[in-house]
Amino acid sequence: MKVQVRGLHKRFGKTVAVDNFTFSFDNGHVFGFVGPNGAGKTTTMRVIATLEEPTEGDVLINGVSVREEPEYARRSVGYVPDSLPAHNDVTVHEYLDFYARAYGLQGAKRREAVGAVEEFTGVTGILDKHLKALSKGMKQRVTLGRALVHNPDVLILDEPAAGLDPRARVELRELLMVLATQNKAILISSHILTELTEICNGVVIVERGKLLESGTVADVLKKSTPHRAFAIRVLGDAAALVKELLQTPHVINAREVSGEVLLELEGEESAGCELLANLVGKGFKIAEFKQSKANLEDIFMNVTKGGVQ
Amino acid sequence: MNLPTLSNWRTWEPNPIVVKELRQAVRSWAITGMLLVFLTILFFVTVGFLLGESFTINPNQALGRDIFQVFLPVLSVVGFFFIPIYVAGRLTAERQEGNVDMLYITTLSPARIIRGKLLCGIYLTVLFFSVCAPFMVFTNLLRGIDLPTVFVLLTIAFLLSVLSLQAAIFLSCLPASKGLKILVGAPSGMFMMSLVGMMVAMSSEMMREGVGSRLGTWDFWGPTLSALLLGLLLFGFFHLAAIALVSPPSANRALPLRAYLTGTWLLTLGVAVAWSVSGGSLEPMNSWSSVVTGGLIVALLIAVSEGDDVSLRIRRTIPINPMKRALAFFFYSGSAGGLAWACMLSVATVLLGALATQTDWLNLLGSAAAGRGRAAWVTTGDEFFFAWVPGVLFLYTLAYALFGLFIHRRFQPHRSPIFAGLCSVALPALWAIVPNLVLFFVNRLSWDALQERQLGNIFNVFALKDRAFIADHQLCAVFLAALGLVINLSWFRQQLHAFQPVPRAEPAAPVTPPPL
Repeated sequence: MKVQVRGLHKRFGKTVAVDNFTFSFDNGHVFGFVGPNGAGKTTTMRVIATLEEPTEGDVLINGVSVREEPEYARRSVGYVPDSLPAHNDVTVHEYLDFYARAYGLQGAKRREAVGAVEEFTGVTGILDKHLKALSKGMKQRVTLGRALVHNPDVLILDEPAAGLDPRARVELRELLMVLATQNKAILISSHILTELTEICNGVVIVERGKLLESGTVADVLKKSTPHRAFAIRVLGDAAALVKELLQTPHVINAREVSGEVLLELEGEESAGCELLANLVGKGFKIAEFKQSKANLEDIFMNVTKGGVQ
Repeated sequence: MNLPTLSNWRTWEPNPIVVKELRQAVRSWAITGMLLVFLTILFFVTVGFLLGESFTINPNQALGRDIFQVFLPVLSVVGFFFIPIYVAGRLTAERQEGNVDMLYITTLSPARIIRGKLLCGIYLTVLFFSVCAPFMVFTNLLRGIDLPTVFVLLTIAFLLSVLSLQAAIFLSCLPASKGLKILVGAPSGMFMMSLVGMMVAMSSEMMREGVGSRLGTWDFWGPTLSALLLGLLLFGFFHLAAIALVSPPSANRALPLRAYLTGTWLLTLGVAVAWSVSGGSLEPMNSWSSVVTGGLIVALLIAVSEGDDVSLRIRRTIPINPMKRALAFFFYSGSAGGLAWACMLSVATVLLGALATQTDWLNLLGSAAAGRGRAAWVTTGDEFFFAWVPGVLFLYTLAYALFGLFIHRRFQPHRSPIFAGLCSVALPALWAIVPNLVLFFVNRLSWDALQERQLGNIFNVFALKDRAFIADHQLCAVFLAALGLVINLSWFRQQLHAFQPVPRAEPAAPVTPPPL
């Protein structure tokens, strides 16, 4: 067990930024933290990174409370904030070297750690460049390097892909996938849900300071979309197929959209197989029969109501 | 303290902040440019004086002194202004851009962050002093100044530079906007400007009389050591206050500060008594009492602006032993404890100040300690008056602070606790202004009216027509403070009851992560 968020509350005056969040994630998990602006994502991440103290509740990292032992948490957590470094008189190498020193790494160990991070994040070609002269993508790599320089077990990334071009996003995603294989526990927030779908195996959905869903993508999907969606392309009369489907048990809904028949079906995956066999048996010429996979975007749209605070 | 020792010198590494700051300073045009300007000024001043001298028939026997008197203000301006502003400016910018924020996720402690900034400033100060020192020593060869005077003045300038550097770091740590910091920093800047003037005047006096001959006398070391002690105490305060300001809110920020200030209180009391006894005058005691009460009034306003919620981190450290817990209540972070601590020290200060006027104990101490046959001094009405004024001021402030506290906790509990502090300042200001505004509108406002007895007006204490009015102010202040205490009594009780240790929770059963 790596990170347990328990009954977390955070108030700023009258505003309740975080209202009783409880979720957990472990080594090798990449949890997407999604929600509209003002949902409490950054506040929660700052609490995990010990930059904020919760009003109530706690975060345990390997069973150790961030409220009671923030120093321990700092050794275990790498935090990538949503802001990028703005120093105009520090080079990339000096920046990473400084943070390695700040985390207490000394001598050869520090040089090794900095070298490894520079290589991993692909900044070896720009070590002598000043931070201010870097592109957003490169700055993001440096920030990621800073968070990794002390080899933390837990990585918290707040909107790391915001403002990056498509290539930089792909590169960042690849880096994160490598980190996931290194058995790190990763919590990542982003508004670009399609990006998260490809790398996350878990999700936490929040809105207006309240936690709506959390768990593996499959579990949340099951809860948020209890029906399976299928698309059928038929050769011949689609209207007859729709009529037939609407009379079939367990079919919730069926409609024709752009030459395809879309339907929702109750039950397990085998129900789809039975339906297909049934339709073929009844003489429908099925050219295509596919199950539509819901992604994080679908889950998000199903679970949230679109409120902000 | 991260210092190299015999056991760790092979693995010791300097403070990371120092490394980073010095790397940045080396690249900074501000530092390089200032160093070049500084060297140019030193060079041209020297050459100018020497060339000017070459045209005179009678050689100037005090040429060295004349040149030194130009060097010293230049060096003082760099040490008192430029370097503190450079270091504080960087820290302010970092705090606003959130860069310092990032330091808090590392294992660097707030103390190391502040120490790193300070050490960087000291390195820069040493750099500029090293540049200037050869020029200054050179003035000794041109006559008019002895080497001990040069080194004593350089030492004083260096110590004052370090003090102003620490004060600037403290200011930059204040949780305020850049504009507000400049507003607060401006009077400090003016104070430092007056220090430059003072340095020049002092150097002139020292050069005229020479330091070398006075180095063996108590007349030199007595005031020097006292000033050094006060400077050190002030430096320590700024240092601890800066650390407290950058510490996370959940930390016990008040503990080191209150403990330090209590120690300072005792130490300065000792120095004031020593000076009163040796000088046969109440003046040092009265000055001590006034300055300390002024400081405690500020402490009172800060205490009232603190929150009630003691963080879990602090509550874990509250002692279980009732005696130790009672003591901890005064020193731990929290509004109630802060008020109690400030009141305790203030009562002691005022009583000691008043005691000095009431009895002959200082005389007794003086004759017992020295037996030098010093003339016993007699307390005058003025001294009696000045002994009680700080007490009245403190009681008034306490009363208004308690009213502010009541307004905040009762009517505006959702607002930040700073609101209580603002009320504590606004209430006496309003009470001082409104009656006089009324007088103005009824056309009866005059200097005489301002000096009349205006009970409850804290500023009226400084401008009383008749000093006997102080007794009325005393009574009024006691009444208001008592009223403030009564209306806050239940809150205070609540705080006392809430000041309990929290045992460490048993490790909870782990939450099973969702299967992947």
